[in-house]
Amino acid sequence: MADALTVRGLSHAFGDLSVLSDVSLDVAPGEFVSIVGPSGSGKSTLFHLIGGLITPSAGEISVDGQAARRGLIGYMPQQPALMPWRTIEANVVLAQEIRGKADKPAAREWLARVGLDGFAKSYPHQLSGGMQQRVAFLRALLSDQPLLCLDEPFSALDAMTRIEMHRWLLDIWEANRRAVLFVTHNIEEALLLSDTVYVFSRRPATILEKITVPFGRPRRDAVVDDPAFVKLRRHLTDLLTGAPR
Amino acid sequence: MTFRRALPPAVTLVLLIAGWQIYTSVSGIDAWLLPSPKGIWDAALLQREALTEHTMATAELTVYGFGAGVATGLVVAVLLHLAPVLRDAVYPLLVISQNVPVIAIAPLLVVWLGFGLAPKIVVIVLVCFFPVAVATLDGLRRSDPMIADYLLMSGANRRQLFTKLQWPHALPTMFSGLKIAATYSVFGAVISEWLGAEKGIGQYMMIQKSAFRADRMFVAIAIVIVLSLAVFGLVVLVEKWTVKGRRRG
Repeated sequence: MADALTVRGLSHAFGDLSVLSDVSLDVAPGEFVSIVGPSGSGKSTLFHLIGGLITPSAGEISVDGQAARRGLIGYMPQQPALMPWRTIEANVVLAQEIRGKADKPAAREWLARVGLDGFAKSYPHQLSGGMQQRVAFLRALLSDQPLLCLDEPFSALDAMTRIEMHRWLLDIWEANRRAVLFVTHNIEEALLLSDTVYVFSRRPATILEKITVPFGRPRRDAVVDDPAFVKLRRHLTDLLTGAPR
Repeated sequence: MTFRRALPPAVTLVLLIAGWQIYTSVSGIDAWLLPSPKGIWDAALLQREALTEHTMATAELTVYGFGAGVATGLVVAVLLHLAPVLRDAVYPLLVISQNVPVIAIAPLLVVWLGFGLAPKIVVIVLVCFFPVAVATLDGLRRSDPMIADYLLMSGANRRQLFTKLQWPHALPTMFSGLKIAATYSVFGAVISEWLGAEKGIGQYMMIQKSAFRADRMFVAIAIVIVLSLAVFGLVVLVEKWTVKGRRRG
């Protein structure tokens, strides 16, 4: 089985501005991989490259064994980017619709499973920020692609909602292991959710370190108090802030 | 509109008409100069049948003209949106063309197209299509770039980008254009009837003007207002059925 994502020697520049420099990474099927890095380190550019929106200056990307192009990934943007004129269920099936057939009954079933029952016929503006992000995640999940790309999906949420969303995401993901590439600038979030964490440098982004997170699944929230977790968090913080190692 | 919001303008209107009525009876001003509201109402009742016929003629003309104007506006908007080269070449000229007074070209239209329905429809199209075209074009261009990115990464083609994002996003702005066009359409129909018509409120106005019948002129004005409101109301109704969910901006 091909890896969900393979990136080899990827570099990209916008004119003279070099954004990514010689990045290589892998996401195995069913693996949760995070990228942490400072804001503006080219993380969103990486997604645009993987999603086929732009062509890289150098390097190779393959998604599920195929060269990267549009329509191969399930994408969840930073803002929910829901269509305000569509009901929640119509928003959820959007990616399916683009590929051919929308399965609304299945969408309704899923909405109930992720704590949004009764909202199928509502419009996005009637939902809170956290709920809108759940819809955006479900839309990506139901696109039925082998790789889910989540671009700082919780960065706009308040701290409390964010913690709730972590629990929610872990529960759903652990029950439906799908390969995930998750971008964030929140170190704790990356360690809590992932199997593997790549640390990005400032622009032009290179990989400073690849860390394998040593905690099993299902993962409990209490893991953040584990001494090993605290040590890893310290290590990552030092890496990212450039403090002495 | 809710009753609460409708009340203040209604009260203002009633006060204005009452003031007008009082002024005409106290000042003793001649009725051919400024008729009283009561006098205007009586004039309308007296000519009820003829007025109904004129109103129907103008209403019919308005519907045709408005329909043709909206269709033209939408076609122009979509064409200019899909072909940016065309937009760059045509859009500035379109804006400039709006400075040409319709009243000035109307007689030319009669010379070119004769006295039939054609020049009248063209006049209405000329006043109606522009607000629809500009509003729709703006709506099409200003759709959310984040949703566009999302759709493209999900594999949407150009047609899907248009039908699923740009067109639905343009609907509320398009309706703003339609509302402006709706208020212009009746006025366009009246102007076109000034060119020469057998029936219609515009033609009725021309006759009453030469007879110095101020009361009947006011009746005609009132009918034009009611017709405009009716077309406007129709657009609002269709908007309510069509535009779902809350829109930003």
